Amino acid sequence: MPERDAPNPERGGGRLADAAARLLGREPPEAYLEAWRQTLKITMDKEERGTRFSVGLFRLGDELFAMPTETVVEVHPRAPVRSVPGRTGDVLRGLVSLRGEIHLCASLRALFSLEAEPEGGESAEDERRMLVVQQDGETWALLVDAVLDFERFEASQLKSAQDTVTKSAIHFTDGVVQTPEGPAGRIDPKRLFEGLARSLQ
Amino acid sequence: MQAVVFYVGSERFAVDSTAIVMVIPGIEPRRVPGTHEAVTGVIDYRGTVVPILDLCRLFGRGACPVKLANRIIVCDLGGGGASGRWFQGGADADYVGILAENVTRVAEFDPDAPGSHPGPETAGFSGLGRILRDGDDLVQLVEVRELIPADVLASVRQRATPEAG
Repeated sequence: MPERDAPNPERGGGRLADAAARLLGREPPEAYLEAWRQTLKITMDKEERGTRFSVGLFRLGDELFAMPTETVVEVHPRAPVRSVPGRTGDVLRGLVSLRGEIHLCASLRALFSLEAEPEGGESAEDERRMLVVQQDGETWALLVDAVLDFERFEASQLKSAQDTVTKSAIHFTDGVVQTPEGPAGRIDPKRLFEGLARSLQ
Repeated sequence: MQAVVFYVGSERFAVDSTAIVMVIPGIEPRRVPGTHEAVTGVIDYRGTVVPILDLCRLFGRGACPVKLANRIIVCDLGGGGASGRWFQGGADADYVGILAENVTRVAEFDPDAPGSHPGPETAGFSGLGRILRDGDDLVQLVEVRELIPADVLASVRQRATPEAG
């Protein structure tokens, strides 16, 4: 049976677009499909939760932190924060509109008593992000300096925080994982959301 | 709205990104005999049995060719989608995968833009929504939930789950 002509999804053509169309027009290698089959079979059942965990690594100044992936809703470029008269403080920065939904916005640097964020203009290299987190239906957009990656660790790789996490932030973490970029304090979502709730009082 | 654009033959369609859990390669599903002709089988998505609907077959264009660009868009019929916990899946998740051609682009659309059309009435066929301009072409929105009756999908899931006997 002759193959039907598939339309080129890229408008305007060009050599790069043609090359991409040729690549995407190929049959997928069997090993590639098999790898995907195995990946999709991974379930987050209770047994696995006990032995492995996944985190989103982010940076505040020179410090690395790890947010449990199940708490993360999305990572968003910085959006304008509207301050709330009489309520906006160091931690609660105000309200932010993301995808048409209004969320509370907080500075993690302030919550963790770290140095305030340096003033900086927006640029193409701006790595600053909003880490949108959710627990028990409560959603916050957290100001972080950069989001690096999402990684999986064995439960045995979670070590005691000891001297590797700044003292003021240690309350919000339940251990440390070693990453190629250095040690990262894993955030305890319960304590994080308790801390965020206190900023509203 | 943000939508994932795909093709069936030479026609361009789009599905609202808020309904999408993940886009994955067109892995071959496990076949489930005796079901709707457009349902090519089921896949195991993180512990969830997900029926796969071949849109090329559903739209009467034969089986979707096997290509890297032809992918499965896993959608959450329960309304979770991207805003939910997409990575968790779970036995109770109400997912369906739609296999389509050239699933390679995400675009912004305004469904109420001047000149858009509610879409012609299609007797005996549901799931096709508004028609919008997309550059120099037209694109039609697809309501995944309405493409195939829920009881057909439920029956596929039930027969594909060993415990159901």
